[in-house]
Amino acid sequence: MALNQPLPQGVTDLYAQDYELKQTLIDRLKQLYHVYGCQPIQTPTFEYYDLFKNIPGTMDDNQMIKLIDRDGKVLVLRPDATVPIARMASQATSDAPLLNKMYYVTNIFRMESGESDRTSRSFSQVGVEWFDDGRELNDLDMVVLAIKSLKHTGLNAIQLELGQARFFRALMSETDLDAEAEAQIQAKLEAKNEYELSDLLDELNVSQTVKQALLQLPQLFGKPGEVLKQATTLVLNSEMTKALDHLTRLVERLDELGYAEDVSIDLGLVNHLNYYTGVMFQGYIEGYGKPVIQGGRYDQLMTYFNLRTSAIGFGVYVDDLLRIVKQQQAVSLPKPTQAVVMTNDDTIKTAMKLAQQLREYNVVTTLASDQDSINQAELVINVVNQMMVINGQQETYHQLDDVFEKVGLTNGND
Amino acid sequence: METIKIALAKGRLADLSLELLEQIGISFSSYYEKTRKLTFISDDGHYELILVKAMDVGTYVENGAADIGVAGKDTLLEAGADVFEVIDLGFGRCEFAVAGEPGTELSAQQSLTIGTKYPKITNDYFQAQGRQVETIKLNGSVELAPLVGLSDVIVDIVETGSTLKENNLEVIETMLSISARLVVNKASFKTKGTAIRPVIDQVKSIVDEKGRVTNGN
Repeated sequence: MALNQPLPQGVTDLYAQDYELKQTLIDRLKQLYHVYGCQPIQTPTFEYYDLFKNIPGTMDDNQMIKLIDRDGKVLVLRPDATVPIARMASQATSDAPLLNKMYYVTNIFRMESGESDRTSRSFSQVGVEWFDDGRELNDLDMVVLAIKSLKHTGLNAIQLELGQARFFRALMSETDLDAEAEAQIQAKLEAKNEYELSDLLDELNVSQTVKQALLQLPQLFGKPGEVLKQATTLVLNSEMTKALDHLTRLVERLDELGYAEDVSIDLGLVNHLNYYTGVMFQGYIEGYGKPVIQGGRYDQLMTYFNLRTSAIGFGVYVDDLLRIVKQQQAVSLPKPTQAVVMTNDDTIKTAMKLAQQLREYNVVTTLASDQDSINQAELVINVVNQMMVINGQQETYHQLDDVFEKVGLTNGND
Repeated sequence: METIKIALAKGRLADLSLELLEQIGISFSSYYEKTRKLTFISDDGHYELILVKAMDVGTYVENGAADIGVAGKDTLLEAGADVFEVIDLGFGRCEFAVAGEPGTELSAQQSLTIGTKYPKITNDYFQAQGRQVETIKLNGSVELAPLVGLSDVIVDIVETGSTLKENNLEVIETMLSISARLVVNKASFKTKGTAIRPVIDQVKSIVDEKGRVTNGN
């Protein structure tokens, strides 16, 4: 009886061209992060639930995929890349060279409803984390690296949107709302739902000045110049000014470097605000409905690990990127020269040797045993009489040199 | 200029939305020809209208298959779409309510079984009250459920209440009021902002002019 085994929801197999393309994308990103001085690292697939539970605001409890260990402790499949890396950095032995700038290629697991999609519960993320000294230069460096990450994959119509966590924080410091009320406000801001936000602010008795400022936030996005100018009219305290100044300087630098077209600003960007403490960014690709890159400065997180350091990082959603790259055919896979060496029982030794030589020339070579369609006489006449299939075309060669010449000519020319 | 795709729910919401769009100069004459087509190009060629099921508007917009959409708050809540919900259009206004046979007391029922087309909204509502309920997902004729003993009460949209009355049911508790919302895909709003924002701003000024009846949620 044929076994029909369905896959669980929200996961998928990847093979053939799709997987090759994904690996190509990952390789390009790895190469990029390598030359930026990042070290590759890996953390375990599962860790203790307590690690994530004790850090507020990073992960929704219900979204973690949990397991029970032998001793009854609860484990979770890696629901986030950054927290384990922060843990690792804090536990790295002191005589190890200081781990400060690293990249990862990893799978993230989430208990999403995953009704019909293929990657909601297990998806790949490539990213960079940098435990730095909090300088503005580093903000610039990472924002540029984020832009490059997208462009490096062959996509050009990109939009990296910048926000500043401190702006909203400073604005909220004018109120005495509790965390729950703040979360409600954030949810409305995140949906740019001015109408319900207005009702909510009335309900919460927020002062008129703060209310007016908050109601402006959903529209404060777009071209940096205009947005920042408009934002200055909302400033209620010096912290807000500082946050805007920081963004202004960052944008000016990006301008100078020729990235003006690629960046915009959204001061209504308030998701994951319990986590980010400074510049935040997310990257979009034209024609794709979700952000494909997300990151920012998160200085607070490290204090949970008794580590006094700033931190900035971002993650790239590779599966989404793969979908876009396929759609837009932005990346063509290299087509290597391929050869099939045909042989019968008598010519195996020569055939194997030939195959080996071809492989040394970087030709993708496979062996095939004698087939009916091949003229056997030709194969047996002479050991150097070679029947080969190169790039789909069957040809007969009488000299090995001829084979190499042929291969040398086509090798790597695609 | 790239075309902007607008998803509308077949039926009355689509008619009202098109009326609104016409006021800002976007018209789809071909929509009024009697056809069974589901996509229409605007007269100026800049917009494409796609007609979908009400429950699917959020999905189309969330995934970027449409840039803009008009959907009832009920469907947005039920489907939990991750979109920008930028304007409360003010039409398509109605109430979510718990309904049942006259005299039904919700607090008197120890375990409450509720028939509804909206299990998520129902569960969220009662969960927020710390009450565990059992929902039975139905796809239509919800009023029948309490009459034949399938459920104790129902949760549904109530516009005039006449359907309830005809089936000898009445509103026991109003939950929240809803209306049509203009939603925008999160990426489109950023990457196609120059084309989308003027549309939003114009619609907003028309809606604001008409005045908006505030509602709780």
